[in-house]
Amino acid sequence: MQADRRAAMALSATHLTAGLALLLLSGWFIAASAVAGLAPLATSFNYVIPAAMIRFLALIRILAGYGEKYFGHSALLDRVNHLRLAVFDAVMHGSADDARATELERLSAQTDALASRDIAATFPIVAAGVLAVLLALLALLVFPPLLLLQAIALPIAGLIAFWQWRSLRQLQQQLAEQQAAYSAAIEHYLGSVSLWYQGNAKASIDNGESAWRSTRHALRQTQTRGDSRLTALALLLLVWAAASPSEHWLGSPYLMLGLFFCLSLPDWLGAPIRAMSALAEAQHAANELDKVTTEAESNVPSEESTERLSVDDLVFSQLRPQREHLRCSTLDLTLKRGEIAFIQGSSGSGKSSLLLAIAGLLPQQGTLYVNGQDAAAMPLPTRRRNLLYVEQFPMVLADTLRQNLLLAAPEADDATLGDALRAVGLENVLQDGLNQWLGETGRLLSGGEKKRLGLARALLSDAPIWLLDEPFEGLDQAAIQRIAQLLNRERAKRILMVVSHQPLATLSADYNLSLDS
Amino acid sequence: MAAETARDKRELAAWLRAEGKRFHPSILGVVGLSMAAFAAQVSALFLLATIAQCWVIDGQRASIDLLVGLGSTILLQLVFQHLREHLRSKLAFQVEKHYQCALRAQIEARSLALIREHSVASWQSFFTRRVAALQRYFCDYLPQTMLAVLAPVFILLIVLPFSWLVALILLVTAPLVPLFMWLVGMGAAVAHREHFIAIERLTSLFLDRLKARQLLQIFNRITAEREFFNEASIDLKQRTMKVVGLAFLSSSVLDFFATLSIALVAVFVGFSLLGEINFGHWSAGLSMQEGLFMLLLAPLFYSELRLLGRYYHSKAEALGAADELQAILDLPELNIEPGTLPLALPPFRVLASDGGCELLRVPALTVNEGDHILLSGPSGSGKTSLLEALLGQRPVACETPLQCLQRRDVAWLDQSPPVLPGSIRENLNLGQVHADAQLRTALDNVGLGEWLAQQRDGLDTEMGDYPPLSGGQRQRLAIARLILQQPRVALLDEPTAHLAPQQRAAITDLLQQHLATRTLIWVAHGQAPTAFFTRHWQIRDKNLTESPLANGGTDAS
Repeated sequence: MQADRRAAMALSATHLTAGLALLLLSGWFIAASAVAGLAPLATSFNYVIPAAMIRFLALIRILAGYGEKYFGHSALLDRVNHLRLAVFDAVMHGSADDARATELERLSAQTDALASRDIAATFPIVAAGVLAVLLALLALLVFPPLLLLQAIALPIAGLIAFWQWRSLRQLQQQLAEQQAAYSAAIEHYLGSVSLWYQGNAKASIDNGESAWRSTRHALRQTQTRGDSRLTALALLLLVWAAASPSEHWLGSPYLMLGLFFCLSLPDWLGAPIRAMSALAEAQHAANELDKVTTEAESNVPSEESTERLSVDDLVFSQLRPQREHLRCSTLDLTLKRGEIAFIQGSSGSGKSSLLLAIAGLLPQQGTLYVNGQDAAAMPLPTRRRNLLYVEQFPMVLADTLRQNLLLAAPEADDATLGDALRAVGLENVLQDGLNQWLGETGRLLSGGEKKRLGLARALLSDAPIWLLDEPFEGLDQAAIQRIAQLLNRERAKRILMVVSHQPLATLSADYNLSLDS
Repeated sequence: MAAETARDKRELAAWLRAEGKRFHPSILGVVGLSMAAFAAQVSALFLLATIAQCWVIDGQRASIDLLVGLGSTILLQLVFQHLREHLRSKLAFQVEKHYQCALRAQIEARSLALIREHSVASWQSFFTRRVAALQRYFCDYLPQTMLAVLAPVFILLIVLPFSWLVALILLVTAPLVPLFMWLVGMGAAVAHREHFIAIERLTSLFLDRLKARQLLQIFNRITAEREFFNEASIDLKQRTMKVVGLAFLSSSVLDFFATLSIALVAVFVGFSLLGEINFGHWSAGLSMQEGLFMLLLAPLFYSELRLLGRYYHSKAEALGAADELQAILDLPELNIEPGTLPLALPPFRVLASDGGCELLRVPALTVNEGDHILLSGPSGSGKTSLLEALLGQRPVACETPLQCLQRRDVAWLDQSPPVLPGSIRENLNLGQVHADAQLRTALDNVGLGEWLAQQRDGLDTEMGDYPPLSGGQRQRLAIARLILQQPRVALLDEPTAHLAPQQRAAITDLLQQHLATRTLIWVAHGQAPTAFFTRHWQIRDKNLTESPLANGGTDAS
């Protein structure tokens, strides 16, 4: 991985150097040929070596350009994978319980920005640095006035780059904040349709939109400003060099070096100055990713030893989810195998949070005893394995139907998977085979189908306790009946807790509780 | 399949070009200013070659005239470049504004009927990422496609009078660039595309597994999925590095020709000057000034082509954006016109939001001032769609433009009522002004009096991101808001669905009492009509029927 990176960096410097050397040598060669052509007899000008050198440099440049791309790409792929695994760990074991889709997309984009830092920023900057040193050597050896031009050009270009970096960093920071505010405003705007025509319901999206546009405008202007400043520097330097050649060198082909140096400035210094944008972006991304990755807990629970327990009773004492902004009453209850608890509450009353806390997916207050043992003392994977949370909106992986089910029972064979699907009434999905692709790019399941997929996973996992979050919402009467029958059948060997915002007659619950106190 | 996507791509590209017409003056302006800067640059190079001739051949300093000429052409170049960038960034701003406004206009015309078609995350990406992709296409890529043709032609015309051989070298290499790209690409292109598709898949797989965090936690599959993902990445790298090796050849072709032609021109000019070569130029033979000038022009011949290569990815991005935005921006016109009560509607059919399939057949209907209409039907039968059609937000098939309710007369209580980020007072007032006592009474009426008393700042409590409200409380707050507002027409979409059973009757009474003089359409799942209602619309099997009401019938509540 490091070898690829080093090779790419060296090749990138070679590519740039060979390009400029080719130009300088060509300029000198034409001038020298012209001088020699005027007096063919006076000096014997050996034109074979420079002409061969020119072709050699061209070859080197082409090969180096190709190699730079190849090794750079290889290093990029490694780096992306490395960073993604770090983000994966951070997200999976992190504390953030409201990891939202936009947030995750942003993380993924930042991973890409940071991974491409080498290609987009480090390589051009290093290459320009190497070239500057080589040019200084060349100046010392053959044409000292070039040193003066460099002494003027390089510090100014450095200042331009620094300036770019500073203002771009600030603007990108600002843009990131505004982008987040704008995204929030869009979400709110889409959610408040019924109020659009009253009051100033659209003010926040209007503000968000114009702030976002203005900052992007400023960012673009700053980016082009760097290029323009460098071009202006190069051209002014050129006029100055053209106006004041030193007397000593008049008549010498080496004078070409100065002119070509000035002309090529935007080419070889432009890349590092443009790279400031990528550099600032990568730094911002690195900071954000650092925040996420350091938040992650260091002691990751091992998922290996997760045995299925045989649970006889559950005892809740003053249990409630520990979550800010949540008003939820506590749960005091004892449940025995074969019993169903039905918990009702209006939306937002904390039903889902309560089940998540029971399953060990959210921090809890109070205590929960499983077979008389404190659940908080159980290893998390074991707790999740036995206290199975069945999602309100079951997530469908972008993968085959089979993989979506094997998640719950990695060892299960196809016949078992088919039985589970039939048990929840998903015959129509099973018809198209276990190999069909689900998720955003494949077959889209309806809300009701997803619910039933969640139940099929629960059946496969065979957990002794099921925590069902709104299992009937969005289903038609026939499906509700079927699921209720399934639950009544399954209750014998399990403990079921069902939350719902509406009462349900067909489920004979042993306990009926309400969270709306 | 492949042919179909190719055609789709062509259609999208055509759409993008047609959209480009909107911004034509600015795009042409950018191209014109670029060419002007380019011409100034070429003149400056000519003067520079002349100066070099003075120095090296004549052994003299350059004359003041030449220096002034050089200075002014360079100044011109800088001025033109500055103007171009100014115009370009104005255009960029304009493009972003245009598409954001166009999206907003479509959303506001069709509201929920359109909003529901995409997730919030998709909408967010339409407004930001997708719009930005179009901006880069119109501001960078499109002008560059023109420049990549104009600039080489311009250089050829200048070089030709000096040397036909150099012109020939350039002329031959230029069309060779796409030819070679195509040749090398023949094998690589397919693989190349597959490579990028594979990378894209891996990216979406990564995102997909991140989003499935909770699911993976539930089933203890985190370690397994991590391992799976890692293996997929390593496998992708191994499989594709072979392919990319070939694919990068095609993108190196431009570099190859640019470098090669500089070398060829330099060697040719040098040998001509030495007298080793005596062909390739017109009768007089080459001077150093001419030779140098051509050497300086050679890289310029390829510079705009190269820049096009740098912008090339914006084309793919823009096609992706067009794929999603076109469908939204080109939705068929809604066949509606604003009407006033009483409305007499001809028979019409309610359509899906893209104007495609039929959702509901509606007979001739009337809505009179003061009507209390009960709209019932099973869930998913199209009750909300009918409301949207009556508001003119959904396409309808109707012989004459459908008269729709005017949005400003209507208050709409939807199924998940929003809470604004302001204070409780602002949430209730909505731009009107009500006395505090009135606001408190309204909250008392819906059973939120006690809740208000618990709030630290009373009516001035800010609602913010985590409003201290449960779902049912939200609903009741929205009902209080509606009663204060006293709209001409109120559309109530399942107003008591999320309330606890014991509150339903009270809230129903409250709404019927306070909105008795208003025009109402009340959507309810399976409620029997009471004496309060004057009409009853029922939906069954995609058909709306008006059932007769025994007026003054028994009160069922």
